[in-house]
Amino acid sequence: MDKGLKGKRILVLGAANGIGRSLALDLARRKADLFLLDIDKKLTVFCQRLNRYTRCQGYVCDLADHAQVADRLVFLLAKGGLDGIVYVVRGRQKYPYSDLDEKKWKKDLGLTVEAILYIIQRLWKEKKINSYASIVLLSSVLSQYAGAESISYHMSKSALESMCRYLTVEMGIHHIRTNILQLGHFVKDEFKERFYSKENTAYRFWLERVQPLRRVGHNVDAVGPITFLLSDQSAFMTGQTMCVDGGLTIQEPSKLVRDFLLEPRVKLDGKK
Amino acid sequence: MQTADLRSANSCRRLVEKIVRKWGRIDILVNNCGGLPARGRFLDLAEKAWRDSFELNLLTAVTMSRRVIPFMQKHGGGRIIFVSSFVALQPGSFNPHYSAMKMALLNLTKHLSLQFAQDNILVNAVLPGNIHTEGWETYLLDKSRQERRDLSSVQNEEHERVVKAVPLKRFGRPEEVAELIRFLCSETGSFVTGASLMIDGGILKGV
Repeated sequence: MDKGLKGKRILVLGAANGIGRSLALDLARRKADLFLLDIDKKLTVFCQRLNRYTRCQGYVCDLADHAQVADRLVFLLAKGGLDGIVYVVRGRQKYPYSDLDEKKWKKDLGLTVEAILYIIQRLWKEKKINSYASIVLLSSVLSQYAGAESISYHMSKSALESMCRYLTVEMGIHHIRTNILQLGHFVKDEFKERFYSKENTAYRFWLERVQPLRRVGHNVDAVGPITFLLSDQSAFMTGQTMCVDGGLTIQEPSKLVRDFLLEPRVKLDGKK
Repeated sequence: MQTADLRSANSCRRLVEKIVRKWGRIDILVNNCGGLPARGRFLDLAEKAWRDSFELNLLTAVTMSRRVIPFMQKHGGGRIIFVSSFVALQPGSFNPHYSAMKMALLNLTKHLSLQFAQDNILVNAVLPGNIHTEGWETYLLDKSRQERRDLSSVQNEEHERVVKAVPLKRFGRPEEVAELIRFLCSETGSFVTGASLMIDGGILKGV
């Protein structure tokens, strides 16, 4: 157990499901003091469970109303500031550029970037972020690429990464660190059973074939790097992108195309 | 602990054989070998300086990796870490023979990570920024001698110059680089390969 996170006050935004939930569980086991936010009401029950391990406060809220969320956080943090912030929330809409409208754009950008931008700003102004705190923002390798859909998702993840640079420069003088975790193809734990089911074999083979490590990532693959970036073990790392993608994005595009299209008989172990 | 001159291929071979004979396997290779056999600007550096830098900073990593990888393949995987430098991405006005080789290490990282991912060999690079090492102390001592100045005034001046550019306003510690390497070698880093991770206090914003 890493004693380094024991007693640290950590805020996880987006903690009821997926990576945020696994992270909260891991941090609770490490005895960090937790403040968890999510729009999903099952956060309340989850917090009760975590209280068996550590002190945990949950707040069910909609980050679209970030001003109100920031008010509430300032109130919750009356007894002291935060040592860590992790932002897992993102917009989830899928559509091509031709179908993009102002409402969709504002929703994705609002959730992925604006909310955390203003929440951190408010917490900082109210002195609710301690010196030597660590901020970890979850992005995606898709911030670097164009795809057939989800234009607002890709663009807002790029904006999140740009925001990280500014936080690094402005908050560095107070020894506050900001880093990005750029995830590759992840299948969250709640979808693992379906992903590894017999009916999904063809799709799984197709997907795993293009991953250099011949597997997709799962919650635990993100939780380890996040806790490392939260801890003092990474005390001289700031403004960085840690790419956790099993090597997916180091491949040249022609290899990816070949793997996807031209060599369908290559099995998972790489042997023909 | 073993000592060896890694610029010699025979020496590398003997070293790896000795370790494998004793321990049976090698799980982790940290290529930390490197340095500056000569210092200067581009026009000051003769071909020898470039060749020496190539041998010390790049070829040692290539030779050791070539020797160690077959044993890692045989035992179901391993981790290779190349210690590069932040000057690989942002060279200064001095020592291009050093920064070019450190850049080459990053390319090598990507190549090996892709080629050996199927053998469960994860290859990553770390790029330290200004770290307070013995090398830094030696640099200050040399500078004070060359300029015939008091060591403490050189220390203060250089410290201020370097730290001004670092958002965290301090030097890194060697143990902080070691922690990053430890993370990459641990189970928690088991989905990270082909990555180049900077540890520079925010000088180069990598995102």
